[in-house]
Amino acid sequence: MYSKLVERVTNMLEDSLRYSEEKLGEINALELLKKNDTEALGYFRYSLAMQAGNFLGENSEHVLEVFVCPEEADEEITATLPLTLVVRVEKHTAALASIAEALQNVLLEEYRKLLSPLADNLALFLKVYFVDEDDFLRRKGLAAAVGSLYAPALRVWRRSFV
Amino acid sequence: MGHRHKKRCSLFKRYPVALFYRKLLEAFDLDGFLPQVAFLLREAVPEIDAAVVYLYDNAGKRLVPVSACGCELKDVREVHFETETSLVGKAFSRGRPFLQREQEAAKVLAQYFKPASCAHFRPGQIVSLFCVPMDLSDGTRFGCLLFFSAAKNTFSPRRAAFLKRAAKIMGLFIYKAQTLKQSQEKKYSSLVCTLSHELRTPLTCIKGYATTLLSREGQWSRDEEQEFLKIIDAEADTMKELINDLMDSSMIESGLLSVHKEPVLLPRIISKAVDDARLRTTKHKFVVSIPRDFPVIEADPVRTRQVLDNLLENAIKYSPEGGLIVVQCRIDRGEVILSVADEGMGIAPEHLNRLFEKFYRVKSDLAGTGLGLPVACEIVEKQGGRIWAKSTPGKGSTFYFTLPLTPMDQVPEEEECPVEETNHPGC
Repeated sequence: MYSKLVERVTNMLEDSLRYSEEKLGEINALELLKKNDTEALGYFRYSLAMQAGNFLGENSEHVLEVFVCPEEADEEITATLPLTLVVRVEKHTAALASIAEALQNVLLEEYRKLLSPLADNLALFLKVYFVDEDDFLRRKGLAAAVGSLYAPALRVWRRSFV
Repeated sequence: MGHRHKKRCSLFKRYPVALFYRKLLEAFDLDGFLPQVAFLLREAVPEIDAAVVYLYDNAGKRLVPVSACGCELKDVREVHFETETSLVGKAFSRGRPFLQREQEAAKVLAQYFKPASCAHFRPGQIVSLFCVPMDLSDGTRFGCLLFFSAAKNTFSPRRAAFLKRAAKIMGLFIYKAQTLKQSQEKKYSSLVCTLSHELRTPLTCIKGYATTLLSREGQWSRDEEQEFLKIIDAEADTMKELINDLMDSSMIESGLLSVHKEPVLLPRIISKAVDDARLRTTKHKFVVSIPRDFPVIEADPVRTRQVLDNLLENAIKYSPEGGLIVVQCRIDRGEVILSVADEGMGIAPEHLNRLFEKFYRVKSDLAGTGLGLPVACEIVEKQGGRIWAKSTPGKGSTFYFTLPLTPMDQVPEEEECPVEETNHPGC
């Protein structure tokens, strides 16, 4: 299997736009995103998180689950708000670190282009955090967000045997 | 300039150890340096008429002269180290310096030199002998320095102190050089063993399948013939790679490895290297990330591909269970940074610094000569780049190398756009 990242990210963004349009009822989602429409952004970000999680999970067998961190209650969803993924892994490998870095960079550039000029100055869009089994069991760092009662992280992908 | 030179000369005159030490540091290897030692010592203390350096030969329990000045080395006798009657034997066995003044030079020198060398001493001529053992702080002794002088007070306490320090430095140098030589010899014999094995394995395979195909007894189907020929082809490739590594290694050794820079499209080279790597494994998944609109850079396409092939081959070899391999290429601060990351067994910190040494192998049970990374390192550095690795045992490794962007290639940071190429024309 040979995955070219840019093609994959382009498809992720297109699919997320399509998903938002389906949910919104055949409305031009891109226009709404550019107007910082909260509902459109919500659908778009959720779909993007699912696909990013799916991409990480299908490429590395060490990925067990992927969660998306919810926005703070008083935080307004805007097109420039970073998207945070918490990836539960069996072990944090060099290749996982590299793929996450590449995904963050490529997604940032493609997202900037998609939502230009709104996102032209965006420096960071996707944040990927890896938590291993030890962190997960001890609810250390962002692993605590997974079981949080106040604002639980939402699972967007899981390996079938988990 | 002249004043500064004078000042430096007087400094070295005051501190002859510093001069001696500097010359030792400039020495390339023990074999090349040993013959000069006696000359250096005599240069530092001009009152010395003759100096001899002895090294201890453990097998023969004797002290063998290896360097001499003021006399012919061939005329210097070997000394049995247990001979307490000789100054050399005494100094070596007791581990401390000895000074001896003799009325009859010719008589005493006969212990150390063949008769022809002693002929020029007049009867009754006084000679002073000073012998210092060369040892390490742990007491390991390597040999002795023996000095002769017909002048008075040559071995004053100050000079004796210098000669003792010189002997200490020499001991340390010889110990280091001998350890290095032994390690190189060990590596060499291990290499010969590895090479024989590495060459014999594919050769046996080629011979076996070729004989099978030529055999008149077997009636092979076309598919079977094709399969045999594919194996022969693959094994011949393995042998070719091995021989190429050896040739590159010898080219590095002789300084003949050259790179021929030309405008290249790196994305095309990366894509081809990954495509070929995919054919060699079914257990691994590959992800490639290359910036969109990647500039044309000045590099050697064949050699750059060779480096990439080596890193990909290692990533596959050192993750035998399979897993993800990520190839990233990006532009940062005026250079192209390429990385290959895997999910393999990783490398322990003590091995990381030695990865680019020739013949150094992390896992001796896996195929390889220990030449791939040193050759890659030389290629990258010849192109003005750097190469390094990061790794955690059990969590995989990431190898990085850089290639410089020439001024015409450079794109402003804000225009850089990490996307991966698909439709670039050929390099």
